[in-house]
Amino acid sequence: MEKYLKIPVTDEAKQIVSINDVKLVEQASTTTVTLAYGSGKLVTLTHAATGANLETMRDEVQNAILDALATGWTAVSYDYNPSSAVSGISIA
Amino acid sequence: MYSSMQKYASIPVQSEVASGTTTVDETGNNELQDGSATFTGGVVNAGDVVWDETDDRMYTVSSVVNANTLALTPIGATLGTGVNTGKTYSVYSATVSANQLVATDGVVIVENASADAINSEVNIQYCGVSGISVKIRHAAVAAGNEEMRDGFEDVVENSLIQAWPEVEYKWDVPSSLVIGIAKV
Repeated sequence: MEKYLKIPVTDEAKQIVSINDVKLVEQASTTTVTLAYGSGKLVTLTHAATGANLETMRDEVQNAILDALATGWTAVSYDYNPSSAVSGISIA
Repeated sequence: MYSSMQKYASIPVQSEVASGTTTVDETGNNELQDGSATFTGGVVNAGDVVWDETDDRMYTVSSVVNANTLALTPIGATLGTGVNTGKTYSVYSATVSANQLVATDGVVIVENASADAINSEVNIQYCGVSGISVKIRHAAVAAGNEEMRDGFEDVVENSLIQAWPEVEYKWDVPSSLVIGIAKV
């Protein structure tokens, strides 16, 4: 059952990011949150800076994943509106 | 492709309250000294966990001696005697934490890291040898102690028997304080 977070990205409208097989979410820096997938892929959300040692964005992504996975199967995407603007999403 | 109902353990990770580089050799004194630190004023408290990252040794804070000095009690499978100068260290609160999610589906094996001299790491391997590995770093424990590994294994089992839409399983009280969780 595929599930996605639908995330507003500056100047790019909304982008969807799969939450299937996400094993760990990390606040990698004050401007990036990473989603690590079981396959080894890593998606990085780049966002407006938060304070040092704050994990606000990581916690928001975690909560969005939990909420999305608790929705019924016809709800494929889940709107996540981050408190800090996301300027880019990349995969490596 | 591994596919199953996704479940997560919600694990309290202790907050980092101080970090830096030591400036005095306290080897043999069971102390840590950093001339540029301010440990007083409730920043660091007795019971907090100190990790000497350079030498990979852990301690608990027995008392805050002054703004720059901590008195320490060594913990773990290999005991330190105090922190030498020029060592990178971090201090983690014993009471303040934030929860981090760790997937409990697709876990292949959970292991105490055998190469870890102080016994402070549990490794989670996902989805076969090509899958990712996640490390839980915790306050060091005695040699042969596998309570954290066993605890996480129990969490995996308990989380997976929860029915949908229960996605999150809270690991409220790990047997050792968790100080970090990261993809390896």
